Amino acid sequence: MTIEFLSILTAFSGGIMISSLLFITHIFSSINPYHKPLFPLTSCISMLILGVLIVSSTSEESVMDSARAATSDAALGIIALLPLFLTVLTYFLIGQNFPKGKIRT
Amino acid sequence: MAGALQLEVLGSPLVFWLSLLMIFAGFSMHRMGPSFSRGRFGLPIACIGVVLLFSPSPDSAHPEAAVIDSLASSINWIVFAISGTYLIVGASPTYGVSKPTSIGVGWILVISSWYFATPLLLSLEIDLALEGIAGIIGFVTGLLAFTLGIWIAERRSSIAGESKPLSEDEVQLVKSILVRRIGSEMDDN
Repeated sequence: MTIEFLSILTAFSGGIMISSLLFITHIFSSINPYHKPLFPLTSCISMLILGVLIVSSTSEESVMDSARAATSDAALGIIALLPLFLTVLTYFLIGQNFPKGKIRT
Repeated sequence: MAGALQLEVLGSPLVFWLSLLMIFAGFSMHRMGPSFSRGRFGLPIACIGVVLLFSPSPDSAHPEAAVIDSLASSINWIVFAISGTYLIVGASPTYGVSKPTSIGVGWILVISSWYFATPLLLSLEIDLALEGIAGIIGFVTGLLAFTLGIWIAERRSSIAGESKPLSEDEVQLVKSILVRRIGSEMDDN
């Protein structure tokens, strides 16, 4: 049971790290004169550090190896669940093509 | 020897992370739109990232290799779903004149993606599903933190001053764009 909880916690922190890395990349690649990146960047870096702290405290491996394993676990789980999003996508596409929805709005 | 060395380099975890970085950065740059000149580099950079991600990998010992394998087994239904959605949304009457042929082809692609995705969904293990849910919750947590950062930045920013009203030429330009884009729907109403 403990092992299951640990794997879930690892995947959770992996998800945090993936989204933090994604948004940090987004901030740097879309920077422009009208941007105010300080607070979003600070919050993303804080979450990244939180994720790294969680995985490093639950793993005996090095920080880098445990962070890589955690992000990989989270990515594997998310990819495995992606077909469920196809259900949601199909639902919205049906709504898009049905004139009934247009009349209601 | 040189060929083997090249494959070794392509299969390294560093290339995996570099390709992810290129995909994220390319997508963000593409979403900046035509107002920023770097927007035109977005799609090519993202495409190079995708090609790098699926480049031959002789080394399957690193943890990222399982992610690449999983992506490779899902790529067919993902491509069908994205291209089908693109055709359906682009051809729907919301964005102009309806194109039944494109909508039909789009639905064929979406149904094909279901054909490929269903076996993956049926063989989903509960442990992996739980990890996926935890990963999504973690992702949403990061998204919330990012949103909080934006909210704080927006609250601290002050309005520098009102912009000047549009000139006659700008009004005509906006009118012509609106008529070109939604003119048919305006006529219908």
